[in-house]
Amino acid sequence: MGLPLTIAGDTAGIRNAAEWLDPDLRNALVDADLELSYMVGEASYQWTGESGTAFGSASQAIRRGNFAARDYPANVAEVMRAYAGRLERGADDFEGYASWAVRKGLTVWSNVIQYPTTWLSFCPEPDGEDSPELREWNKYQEKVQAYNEVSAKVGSWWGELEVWIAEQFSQLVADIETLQEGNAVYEGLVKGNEEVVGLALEYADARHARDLATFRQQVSSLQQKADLFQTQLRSGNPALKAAAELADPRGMRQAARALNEMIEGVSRAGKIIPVIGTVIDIVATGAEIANGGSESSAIVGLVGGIGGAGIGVAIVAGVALPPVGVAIVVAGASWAVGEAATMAWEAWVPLDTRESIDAGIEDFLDFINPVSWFVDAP
Amino acid sequence: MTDIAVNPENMEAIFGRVLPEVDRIDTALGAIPTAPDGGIASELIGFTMAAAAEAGGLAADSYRALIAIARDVIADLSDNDSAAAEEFWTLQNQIED
Repeated sequence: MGLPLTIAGDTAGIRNAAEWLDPDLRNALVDADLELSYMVGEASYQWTGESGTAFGSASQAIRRGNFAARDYPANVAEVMRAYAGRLERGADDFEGYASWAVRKGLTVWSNVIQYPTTWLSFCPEPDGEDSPELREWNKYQEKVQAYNEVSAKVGSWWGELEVWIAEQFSQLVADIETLQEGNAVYEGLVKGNEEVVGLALEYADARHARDLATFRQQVSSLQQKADLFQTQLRSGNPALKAAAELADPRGMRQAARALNEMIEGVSRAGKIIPVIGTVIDIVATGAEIANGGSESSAIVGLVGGIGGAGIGVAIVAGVALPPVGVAIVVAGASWAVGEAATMAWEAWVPLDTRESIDAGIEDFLDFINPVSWFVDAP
Repeated sequence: MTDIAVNPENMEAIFGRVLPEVDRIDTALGAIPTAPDGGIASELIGFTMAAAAEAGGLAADSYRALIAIARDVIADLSDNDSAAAEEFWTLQNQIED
């Protein structure tokens, strides 16, 4: 097996799903909340007395209970768009790697860089006299080196992607806990009013079945395919594997994998909300990873359970670009950008946009760096 | 006994403006796309998308439930405002518990 340059994932599909979350679903939720807000104001003139006041209070409590549900889709969509952008930029990078590999004498076939081969059936004396065999041997060595070099590049990319996924999605998983409030509100409403509410929901023509079992089964199947690809990618390519591990010093990849496996366990049955049973463990694990607790005993235990692999304990900086790199773009000529500016940038500019700019800076730094891998072209 | 005044027709008109917005949530939920191939993040994408959809569904159901209960209460509001108030105070207590 050579070095596959394929990146699993349909970026158009991811972007389409993000579009469904925000603006489609999010706007509908925001507009309904706004209309409820108007309702409370107007109702205070149309329904007075203690019952009218109580109606207003209950309505406001229901609104507050669903604020998290209103905001969550946009947060997921933002991360999904940023993820799609990463995959797209990765595909561009890999295309560049393929061209470089060809220039180095490697064969690229069907988007796979083939492992270099030689017609030699023996290893000539490296310090011996010049001969066609020795020249072939040296050429072969150069190709092997190039192959390992590009493997390491690809491995780093995958490793960094996995760390990024762990950091971004674990926070979203942790935030599921906030959605619990909407469920509590609903439960409170229904209690003692089962018949009235049941009829209202039954006769709501626009209401669809809430069963997402098929959707989640599709998801599990896609994940299994991606996992298989990932395992095959690493096996038999030590350079790639080592680079991927190096990009993940905090063991985030294993932590995210543990989280994935837990999710897979509840994907085929049951609901996510209310957050009960196994879902509590998933949300708690997400929170722990999001808080940088991948070295904690809980995560180590999980990882040990799934793969038996230990987690590196080296404390190093994350793989993301330093925030100052981002802030330079905002502040123009100023290099002395304060923490406040960086924080504002991160608060106001969506993740996907920030990442595109980060990638642009990274490419620029690659270009101006004389020892850059990209510049090492004939 | 507190003074009570409710205009059922006007309240119904107000509900009539809210419900189409709730329908929009349900229409959006009904249009959920097939699970995207998210590569190695497929499971996480699907899980968080499903959580968003479930939470959106609960919000829509809550709004419908509120209006259904309010309509029921208004219909029953003949001369006992306190009893009706009790319904909503209990409701609020249950929600906030």
